[in-house]
Amino acid sequence: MFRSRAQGINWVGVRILVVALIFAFATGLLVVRAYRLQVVDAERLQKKAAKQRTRALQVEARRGMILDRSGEQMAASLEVQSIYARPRRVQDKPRTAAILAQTLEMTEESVMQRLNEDRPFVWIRRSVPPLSAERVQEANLKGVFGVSEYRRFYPLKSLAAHAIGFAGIDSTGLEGLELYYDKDLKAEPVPITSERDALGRPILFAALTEGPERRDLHLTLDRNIQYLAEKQIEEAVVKYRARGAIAVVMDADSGELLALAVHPTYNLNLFHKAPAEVRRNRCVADTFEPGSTFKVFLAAAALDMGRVKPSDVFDCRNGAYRYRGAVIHDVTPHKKLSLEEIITHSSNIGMVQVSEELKKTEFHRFLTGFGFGASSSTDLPGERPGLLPPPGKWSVLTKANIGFGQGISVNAMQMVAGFAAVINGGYLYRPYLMKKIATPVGETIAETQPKPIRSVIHPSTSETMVRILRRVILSGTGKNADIPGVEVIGKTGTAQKIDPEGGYSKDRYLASFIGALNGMKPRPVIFVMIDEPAGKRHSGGEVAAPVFRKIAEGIVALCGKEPTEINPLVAAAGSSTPEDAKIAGSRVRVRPGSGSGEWVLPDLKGLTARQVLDVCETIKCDASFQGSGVAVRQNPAAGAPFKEGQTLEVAFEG
Amino acid sequence: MGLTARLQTAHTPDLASDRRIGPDPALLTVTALIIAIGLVMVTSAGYIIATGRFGDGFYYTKKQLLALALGLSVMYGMSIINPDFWRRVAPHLMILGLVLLLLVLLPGVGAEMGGSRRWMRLPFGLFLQPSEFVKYALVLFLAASLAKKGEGIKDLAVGFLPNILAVGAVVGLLLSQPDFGAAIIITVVGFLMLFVAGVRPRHLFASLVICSPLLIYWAFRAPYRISRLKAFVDPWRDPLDAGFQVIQSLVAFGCGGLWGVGVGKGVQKLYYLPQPHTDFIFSVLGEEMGLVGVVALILLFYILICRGFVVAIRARDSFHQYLAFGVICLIGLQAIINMGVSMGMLPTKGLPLPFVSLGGTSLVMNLAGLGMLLSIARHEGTNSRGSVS
Repeated sequence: MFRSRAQGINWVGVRILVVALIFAFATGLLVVRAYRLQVVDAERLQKKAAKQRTRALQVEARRGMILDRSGEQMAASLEVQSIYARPRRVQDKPRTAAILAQTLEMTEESVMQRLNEDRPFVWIRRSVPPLSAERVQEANLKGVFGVSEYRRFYPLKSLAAHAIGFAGIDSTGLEGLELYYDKDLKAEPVPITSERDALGRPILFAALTEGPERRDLHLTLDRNIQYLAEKQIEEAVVKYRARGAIAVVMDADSGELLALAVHPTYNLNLFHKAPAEVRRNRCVADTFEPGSTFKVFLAAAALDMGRVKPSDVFDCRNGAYRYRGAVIHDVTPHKKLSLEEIITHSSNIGMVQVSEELKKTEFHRFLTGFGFGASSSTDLPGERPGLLPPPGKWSVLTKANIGFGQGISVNAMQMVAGFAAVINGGYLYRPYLMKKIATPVGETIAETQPKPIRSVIHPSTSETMVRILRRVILSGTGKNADIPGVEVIGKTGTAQKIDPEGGYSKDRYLASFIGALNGMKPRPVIFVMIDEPAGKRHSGGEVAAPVFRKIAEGIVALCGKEPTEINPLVAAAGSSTPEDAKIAGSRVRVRPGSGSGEWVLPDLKGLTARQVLDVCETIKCDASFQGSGVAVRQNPAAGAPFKEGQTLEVAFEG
Repeated sequence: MGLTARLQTAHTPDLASDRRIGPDPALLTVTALIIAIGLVMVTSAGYIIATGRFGDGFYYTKKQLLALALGLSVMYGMSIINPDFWRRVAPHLMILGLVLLLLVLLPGVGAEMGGSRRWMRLPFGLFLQPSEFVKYALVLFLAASLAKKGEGIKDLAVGFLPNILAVGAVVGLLLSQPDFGAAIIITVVGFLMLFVAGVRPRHLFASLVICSPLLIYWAFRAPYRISRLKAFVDPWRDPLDAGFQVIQSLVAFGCGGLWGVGVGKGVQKLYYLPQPHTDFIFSVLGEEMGLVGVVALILLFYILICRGFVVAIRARDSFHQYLAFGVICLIGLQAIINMGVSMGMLPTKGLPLPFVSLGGTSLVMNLAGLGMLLSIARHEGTNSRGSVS
């Protein structure tokens, strides 16, 4: 296409073609380069892009909540603002200090002192109110910054303080469950990757991955029972001018701890102000010689080995028994007592003779079987297992002493777990507080399944023990623990504390009561111990049993609100085969009277208003209530015939 | 003669040619495609920046559409003006261009942006970039001057010096703005036109040798150009500073891969790339449309360039030839340099991608150039030999 002209070849066209070839070559280079960048080197360049676009964000995770068994918040983390400074970047220190001091309610000197520190980072004040934080931001001070943090808050203040424990300002568990389950509550800060533009802002259309999941700790504790237990031991401490007290409530058939009360207690929100003495969880950290409550375990062991029968009679030597060079005393002198009566009246002399029926190793085997001498492995930190000497180191008196609760030290958890095994058919359960750990959307991460550690005694022995322990309440030292209509079982204990100067103290006692509400579901084991009650009354029966009773009454009232395994419904009036009507949660039975629409009024004493209403509904009466609390008087009287539609007057106190 | 004759016959205007879209449908179609891609990319690349600056994501798109409307009418006007008109006004336009270049340097007239005086403030918040105008003024002037010289072009004093001095004057003024990119384009296009017109190669070579110390001095006078050059040689050595632009551009192409991440989904334009809607729009295209889009755009430009050369070769006389050649060189060279810079093959300089980058003056002027090409193509068959002197 080289157009020839008159002169010959069109050189302009040729030269344009030369330039066109250069352009073609350049275009080819562009294509080759594009291929190299977008295919050959693409992976390397993409990695580089990913590196500069995604930055690991450390998002501080919100610490999980602690909830009671009904889901009530016992510990929660709130977002708070904290103010910090980078002293080297602060420009006008005196002015900055003045503004900060005014806004944050601090002294100028203390702020100045912080600003003058030769560190790259100092906290000015943590957990400030949102309004103050906003004002600091607005002041726009060079080198002063605000940051969001989480602060632990305990809405129920001192409730279950010793069980829950507390977490410090950096959301780290320091005591109690907060410490024990620290790793579970503290969701690991999960690095969130998101695409960012060059200015570091998240890219609009890049989906942010979800934040780390909070994990909540659901407890077996029931805040109502907990409150009840705390209130009752507090009253007892005041009434008997005692040094302290504890109460533990556990489900005998699973090991679920329903309440763990310690007095003195403290407000968890102000934990730093409480002395270590007050913060100590006496339920796990204190060991003690249990005293007479321990007779239960020797009796159970001897019965289970078949060495004694409940009816076997022992001579109780009228209150003083010379035994292997020592003299054993009873508080009340007795002559001949059956084993049943020995427990009922808590005779030391009788127990010494029962201990003769067992070998050291046999007794020791039962004691370890019941969990003594080893940690109860409950989920609380700082448990001290107490001391159970090996049989080889026992003196001639040790076996007898342990039989009535001396020469061995235990903690409250072991007592509760051991006692539960005695009455629940022989199964030792691990006492525990963690029901489950779950995410807010209900995904369960961990759950405690109640599992018996071992079987210690035969179910038949357990049944016998329940019968004996029932007699303690009905006719023995535990009368003060009785609740009409409820099958209370238990055992008193009065231990002399060890004198620091040697021997046993004559005026310092541990008054305790361990018992259970048999037949209820859950079947609670309640252990109450009053430390050094002052004054004349210091025995377990006098001091601890009433506390036990009040807690037990409250539990009966609380649990009565829910239907139990006992059918609360009554056969309709006029039914051909009238049956006893049972009232939910209590042992009250309403018996039909002789005629149609007639009933025999039960004893309403000790029932809550709600339970009395249940009775009224059954017998279809008009009720007239006075006062509040539990029923103390009624008209017509118990046992009187009652016609449907009559008016029943009940007075409440409490 | 045989091949040429057949080609000529095929392209001789006849009844069929009246039904064609304009004088050169291939040229128009290719340009339309490039402009369409450009509008999409200006929207995609500029959306976030426009939202941030003006609160309207489509601000740049609207501006570009406005310029396009103006440009298309200018193009139509150019395509119906007989190219011979330009032969007469070329010297006047050259003088106007030089005056504008001088004016833009005056404080108060020229607006300083980003450390250089390239724009003139016009009413209604518009800006004019004289360098865009001057490029065409110089091409017109050279075409007219070279065509007039005829065989005298081989003479140093008559054919070469006046033209090279005109180029030198324009380049000198551009460098004082400074607008290094435009200066390079003008220099290269000027030399190519002189070469095509038949200036003796030794003259060209000698002037290159004489000019090179000056060019080197200018290249290294401004410290930012040294760092740009260094960054070009080894962009990864200083990835946070001078090499940043180059690296980010390369990363954009890499992210695009074969098929691209999808239009609008690119991330490099989000403040990683400098000037994603103007100088580095090709990188955004690379990320969002991948190798497929990149090769497609390169080929479109290549077809455009080839069509332009065909128009130049077939043109009626030497003025038409030189003008067509100059115009297509101006557009093609800018495109190739811009793409080369984007892909790290050339040192960074502020050059827009014709028809694609945001920039009203550039779009209008390039469309005007295209109009001239169309006009030349329209006149290619008419009495070709008559006007050759």
